[in-house]
Amino acid sequence: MNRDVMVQAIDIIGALTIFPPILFGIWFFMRERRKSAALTATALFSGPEETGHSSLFSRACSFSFPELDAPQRAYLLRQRTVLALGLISTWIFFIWFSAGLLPQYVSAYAAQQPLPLRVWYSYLYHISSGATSYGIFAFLAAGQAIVEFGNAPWMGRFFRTRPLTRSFVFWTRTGLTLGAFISSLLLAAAASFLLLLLTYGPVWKHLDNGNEPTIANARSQPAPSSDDVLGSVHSGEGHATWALQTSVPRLFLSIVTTQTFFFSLMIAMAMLPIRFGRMKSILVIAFAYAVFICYIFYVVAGNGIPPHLAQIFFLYVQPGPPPPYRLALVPLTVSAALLALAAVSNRRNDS
Amino acid sequence: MTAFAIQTHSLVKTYGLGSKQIRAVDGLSLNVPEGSIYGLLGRNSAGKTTTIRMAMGLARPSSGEIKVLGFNPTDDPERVIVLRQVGYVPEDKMLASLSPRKLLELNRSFYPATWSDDLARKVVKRLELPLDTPYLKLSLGNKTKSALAAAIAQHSRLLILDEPTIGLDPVALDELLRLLVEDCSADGRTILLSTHQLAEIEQIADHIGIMDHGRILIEGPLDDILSNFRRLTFTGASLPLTGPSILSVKSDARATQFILQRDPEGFAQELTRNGATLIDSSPMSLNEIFLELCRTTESKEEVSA
Amino acid sequence: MLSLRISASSGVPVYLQIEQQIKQSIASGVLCVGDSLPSTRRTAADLRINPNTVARAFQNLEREGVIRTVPGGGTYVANFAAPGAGLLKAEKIRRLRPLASQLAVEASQLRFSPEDLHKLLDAALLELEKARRANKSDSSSGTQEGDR
Repeated sequence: MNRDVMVQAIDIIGALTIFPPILFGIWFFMRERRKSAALTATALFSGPEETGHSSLFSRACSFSFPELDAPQRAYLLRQRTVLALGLISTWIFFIWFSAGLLPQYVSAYAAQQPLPLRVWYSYLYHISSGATSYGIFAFLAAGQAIVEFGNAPWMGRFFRTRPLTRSFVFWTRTGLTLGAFISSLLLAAAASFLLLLLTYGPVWKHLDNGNEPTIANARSQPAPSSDDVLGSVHSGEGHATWALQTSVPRLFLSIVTTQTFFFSLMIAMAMLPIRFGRMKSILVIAFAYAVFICYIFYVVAGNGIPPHLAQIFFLYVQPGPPPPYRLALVPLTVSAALLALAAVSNRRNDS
Repeated sequence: MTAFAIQTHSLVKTYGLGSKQIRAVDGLSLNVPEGSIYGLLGRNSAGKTTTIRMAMGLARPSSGEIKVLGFNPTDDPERVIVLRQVGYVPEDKMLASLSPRKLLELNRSFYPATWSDDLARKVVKRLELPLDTPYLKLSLGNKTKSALAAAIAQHSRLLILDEPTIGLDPVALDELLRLLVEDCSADGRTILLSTHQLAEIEQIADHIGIMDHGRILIEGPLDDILSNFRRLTFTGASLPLTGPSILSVKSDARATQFILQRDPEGFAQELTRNGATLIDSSPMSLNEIFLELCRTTESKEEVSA
Repeated sequence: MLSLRISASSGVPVYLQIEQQIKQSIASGVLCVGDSLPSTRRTAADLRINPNTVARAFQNLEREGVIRTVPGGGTYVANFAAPGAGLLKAEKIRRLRPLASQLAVEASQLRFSPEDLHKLLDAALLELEKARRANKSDSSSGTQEGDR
């Protein structure tokens, strides 16, 4: 029975990994061929604006935001690419989050423990171990946003000389990019959780094989290491079970807040009143790298992050008890402040 | 009272700090009348592009005032009002990384009130712009043509062209001039051309402004400037070496050549009254006027330095 | 057919060049009374020069009675019932004197005798007359070329 379940997991994940890019590639290729065949013959502005897919988007825009004027609508329409990129990152994050369900990872942990426990732990561990990589995506997302701001050459300068307020461009671009990024994280999280349900069933209910979970006062205790956790479950200590069971929301929420923070930091740095050029790019990248290194150091090298620091930054990378969720507001507030600072710089700077 | 499309008053723009500070624009008072074709002339770092960037809201003035079509282009929301009515071709032609067709289609959606499809097609045809070449494969000339097409088709009240002749072959240049005269200057529209190409300016401009070191040297209707400058050669004793209307003097054993910047006839009459003989009197081309003005400014700076 | 050639940096103001060339065309018969001239904007576009310059030239010509504009639009070569009626003799002399001085200077430089100079002038006037008659006979025999 275990065997079948595992094979099922492989099948689904494998299929979801391979088929979407192939299908997408085929669709894209066909579309490009159709477009270039049409182009060579057409005069300027002679055909209908574009295919149905974008007019749906434009209808949605004009429905939701009727008070926008034509330039603002035109700018919004262009942000279709952000949504497309959001879809791609949803897919990538989904693969990453679900990889913990693959048999080879499940079997890697504590082979003598019962299957539900191993699956659950493998799932959680895999999500949190990717913490260092999500930062790269935050960086890329920020870069994607910056590409169209006023300081950037080409498209940035183009939009800076069209009748759009600087605030509109900044907040639209930043908002949509960040929104797409966070949505892709959350969607991927939900999808991977769904996959877990479909393949292995509600494993978290069977973690301790019948022992009653007890609610423990987890605040004063440091985050346990993996062996501790598994060991204590096996020995019947309930609070560890409870900690494991409730880890999912805190992990995912932590990912969202931390990556939002990185994203905002990148954007704030890019908007510093220094001319865009080699020097500035080097500075930005070096600073971000330094912050990143500290982050990685704490996560990987030490035994996890000291709890008070973890609480301040809402930085939870290991399974553990539910934290005070309202502290999630701290990094979010900091991020909002950074973005506001960036918006002000965007308004005041030369292009 | 004539309306001005662009007007600046003691405009200053500095870059850098302390001893390494550069004054790109240094007390500029520019006046571009509405409905004119205005040629902004100057050497390479005279401050023309910086001024234009300030007019487009791309740079913030350090001090002084600038108004475009009556509004301040530096901050929103007046900036947006200005941008609705201005077409712009930047100096480095790095306007947008799109093929010409995509650029035109994109730009069209930003100016629903004034955009003209017919004009866009006309410009594309006349300049022979290849519509579907990807941006990276475009030559400099084609990038210029692409930016020109996008800006001209806007059919806006003010057209600002910063070095629009870069990379254009003589045929394209000729077609551009024809388009500017035919379509871009009708109905009270204004064109501001910043360029080195004095010959073209002499043909189509009716107002000019010559800038040097961030300041205006001379500004006004082209015909007036051309008739105010004259090269006079005299012989005689005790000829004046300086005067309010004399720009420069060159003399050898036989004769003295004066470059006049104002009222040449009056000057000639006065000298002949005092016994000098006028040997030659010839007008000056815009190129010669430009060179003389820049040379004189340079030597004045050397003296004061 | 009217073809103008303008040089912006020749030292002669452009509007003056236009006036002179139009008068030349009329004098040599290329343009006849009643022929229409292209609009100011059309002329400016064809020559790649500022429309105000062309407007100024046309205004001067109209003041001198060389051309006339019709209120509905269109510019035509005026009728020379009283040729040069708009100009006083003093004005005409003022116009021609600089040209005469220049000719005198050149001739004396080249040591060209006054008699030869007079012969040269007569020959030029004769050429002009011949060209005008040739153009007139062309149009009257119906072999009109070009469009007006």
